[in-house]
Amino acid sequence: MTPTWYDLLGVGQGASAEEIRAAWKAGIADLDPGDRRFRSLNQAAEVLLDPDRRAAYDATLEPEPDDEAPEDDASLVEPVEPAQPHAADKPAATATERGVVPAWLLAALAVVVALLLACAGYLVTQPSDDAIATATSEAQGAAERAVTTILAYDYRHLDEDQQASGELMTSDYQKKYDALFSQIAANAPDLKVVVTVELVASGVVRSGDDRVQVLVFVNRPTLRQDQAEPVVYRDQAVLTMVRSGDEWLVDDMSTNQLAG
Amino acid sequence: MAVPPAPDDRSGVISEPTSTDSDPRKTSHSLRLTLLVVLLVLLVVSVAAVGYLAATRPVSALGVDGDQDALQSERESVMAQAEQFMRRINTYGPDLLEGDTMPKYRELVEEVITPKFAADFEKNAPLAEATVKQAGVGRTAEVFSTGVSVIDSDSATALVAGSFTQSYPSSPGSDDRVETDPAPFRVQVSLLKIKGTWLVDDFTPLTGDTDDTGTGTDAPGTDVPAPTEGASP
Repeated sequence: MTPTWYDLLGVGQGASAEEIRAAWKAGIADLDPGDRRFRSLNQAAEVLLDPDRRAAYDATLEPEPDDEAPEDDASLVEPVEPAQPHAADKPAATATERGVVPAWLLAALAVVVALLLACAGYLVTQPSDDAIATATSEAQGAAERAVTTILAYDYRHLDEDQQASGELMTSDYQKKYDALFSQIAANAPDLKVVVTVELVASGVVRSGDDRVQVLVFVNRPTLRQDQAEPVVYRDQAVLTMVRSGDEWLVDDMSTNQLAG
Repeated sequence: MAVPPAPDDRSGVISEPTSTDSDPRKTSHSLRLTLLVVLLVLLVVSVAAVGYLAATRPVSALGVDGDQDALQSERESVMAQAEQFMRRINTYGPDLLEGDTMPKYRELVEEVITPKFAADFEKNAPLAEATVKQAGVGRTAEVFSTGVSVIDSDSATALVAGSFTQSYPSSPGSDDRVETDPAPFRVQVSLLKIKGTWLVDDFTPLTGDTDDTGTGTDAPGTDVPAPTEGASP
């Protein structure tokens, strides 16, 4: 129940002006002027000690037994209990309670949404079908270009050939390539070997977003000092291509020389 | 019974808020309602996002296969069938001979080829059978690698690389056999999907020369180690 000015002063609604004044004096006797209760008691006394204002105020109050005990002083500083709703307010209040969104529903929805968003976030990190198709096509093209460089060399510029090939492969595979190329470099100048590479066909072995295997058929016309005409080696090679930024690099290459 | 509050709320001590907007309960209700609407919108958006993403992305970890997974599966079927064809057509010998023919050899090959290609194969199979009957020739094949250069829903082109090895009796009637050096081959195999099964419809040796136009079944059956001849029976 909401306390009134009478309750604040601890007097009944029928209290005389003297009783109100005495109660006010008693109430503020021990209070500091800066205390909020001091101001409240002053306000109460101002209203109730002015007959006109008191009458107007009383008109807003429901009749109340005079002997109702006043609230203790704590009510002056503590939040007061809210007034009980009028009977007429009850249906509306009940309707409001019915319309309240339950906390458990909000919590459950939040959990479901969080799970779905997490799922969507994971899916976003996965490559799409279009991305895989595009990546596979790019890797196949890169493999076709790479194999014609990596398998070719000319005894007159082996270093340049090795460097050009190295730019098309991963560091791991480059170690293997360099080891092999050192053997070639040891013999090619003496025999004056010139190898060119012609792409015959290529096909996809395994598609992927960042790793693709490509089978290539190439012919390698190989000319040596002791041969009047180049010998054509027909090779097949399976290149494992990996994505490195915007590039596709050779990460492995297995080849079988088929026929000369 | 309600008691009107003290008329002056300047103290902030005992007066009740008079505006409905400042009712803490109503504020809480409005907040919950707003939150509900926001969550419902997020729910719809996230369901739509997950649906779209799952439909366009293969997630094998979740058992969701995309178009590219299906395509890779078809690609592997094509490669397997092309490899099987090259093995079967290059695997025969005296142990399969029954009279003048090798019915088991024909049966195994025709299991993996189209009816149209089978008609061509039947015309060429006698060449292989004749070498087996007359010279005791046998052949085995090894496949090094396969790939798919073109594929759609009902046709595909595969690349197959490998070698075959021929053998023959060291002397007429002898059980001792002599093997030739492996003869490599590189072929392009055309396949059709018929009633859900990939079948070989043709194959072409790929030498890289300008005359890579003949079909395998038209090639003569000799043991010269060129892909054209090597791929034919």
